[in-house]
Amino acid sequence: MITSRTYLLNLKFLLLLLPLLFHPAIIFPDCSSNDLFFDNCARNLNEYTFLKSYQFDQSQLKKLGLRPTVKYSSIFSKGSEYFFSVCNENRTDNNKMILKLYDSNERLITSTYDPVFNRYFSKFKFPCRRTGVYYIEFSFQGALDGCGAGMVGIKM
Amino acid sequence: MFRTTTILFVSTCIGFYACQSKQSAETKFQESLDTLSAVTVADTSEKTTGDVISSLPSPLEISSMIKESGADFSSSMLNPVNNTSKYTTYHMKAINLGVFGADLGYINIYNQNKSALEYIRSVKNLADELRVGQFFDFTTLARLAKNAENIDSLLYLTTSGFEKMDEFLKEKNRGNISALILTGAWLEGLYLATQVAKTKPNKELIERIGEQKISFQDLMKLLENFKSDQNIINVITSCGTLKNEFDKVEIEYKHGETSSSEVDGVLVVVDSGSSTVKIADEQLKNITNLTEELRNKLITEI
Repeated sequence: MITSRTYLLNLKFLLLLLPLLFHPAIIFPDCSSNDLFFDNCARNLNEYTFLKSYQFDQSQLKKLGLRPTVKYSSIFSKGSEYFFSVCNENRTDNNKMILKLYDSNERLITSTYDPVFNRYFSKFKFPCRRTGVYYIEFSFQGALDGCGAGMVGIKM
Repeated sequence: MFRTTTILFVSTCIGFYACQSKQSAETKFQESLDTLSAVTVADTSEKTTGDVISSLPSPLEISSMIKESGADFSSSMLNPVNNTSKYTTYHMKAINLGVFGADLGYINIYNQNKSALEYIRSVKNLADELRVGQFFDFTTLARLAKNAENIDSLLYLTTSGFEKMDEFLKEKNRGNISALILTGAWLEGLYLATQVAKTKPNKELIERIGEQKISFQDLMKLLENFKSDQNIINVITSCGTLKNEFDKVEIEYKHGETSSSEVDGVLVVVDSGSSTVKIADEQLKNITNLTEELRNKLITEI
């Protein structure tokens, strides 16, 4: 038989433990450690062979006082078709991650965001005709906080 | 009933934190080992050029190209797995982890399940010895390797395993190990391509070999960052003659306009530019011989 006093004590105890359930590590796993998110994003590559993944955690960059964009260089080869997929892991807002591809002279080739029509694309194909260094830049459109991944697949 | 629920709830919470504590202890142990390594191989943190983080192309690209050229699978080209136990120093383990990684990519592209298992084991053993084995789940990989239908998952897990390992090594100031792994993987990819081109010449493949000039330049830049490591200086020195030969390869660019259009919901980029590789037969022959010499040196020199 549970008395009302015991019930209240138990309830208090449960309430004390409640914050544990809302610990950030439980609700929002760190972007870098969320394998499931990456694995799901890689599935978007479909018939393309997985080549490389990029992780972009804007909040971490901001914490470190760094510029909220990241640029990677990669060598792409003529005759190969590359497939880029962008995935957002929204935590605090619905802002989308933007991937921009530049050539070796840092001229913009394409972007997953079209500012003219305010449209986002989550994937694009790049049939490469010039072997060389390319730059892949990640950013979030006006986001205060954002975490996402970019995947690159290849088809010969 | 309420008491039972409370006990279950508290047990779950305690269990959760106990797991976290165990993980934390393991992490601390790993970190202490990493600190030791960072002290042993001092001043070898990777430098990046400006704000750009560079990455070398995956040897998978070369393997895919080899398969596309119509060449048959050849296990005789690969580094034999019984060499694994012969690698006793950290630099030999790292270089040959890269070599076996590239071989595994080649095996996977050709869907050679039986060989895959042996090479997964070698990759796992060397990775364990370099304390980065946690990125390769041998049980899962071995299970996937038993069935040809799992090739996509196998390719994904092995490639992402190498990627995570690379990130981890850079984070832990063990970039010199990462650079040696990349060197082994790159060189093995080039070795496989040149061996195939020797017996089955193919215009696209030869052009792809010439294009390795760009990756080679990047690799050399990466290695230059770790000049305080004598083993890396030795690798750079060994690569000298091959570099001279690659310097003779010419890559011509024709720049053109790029445009993007939407096809079935996917953006497709169209580039009107092009690149052409100029590599003479003599240069190809020299690159092939020098690559073979260097690769055989790196897989056997103990």
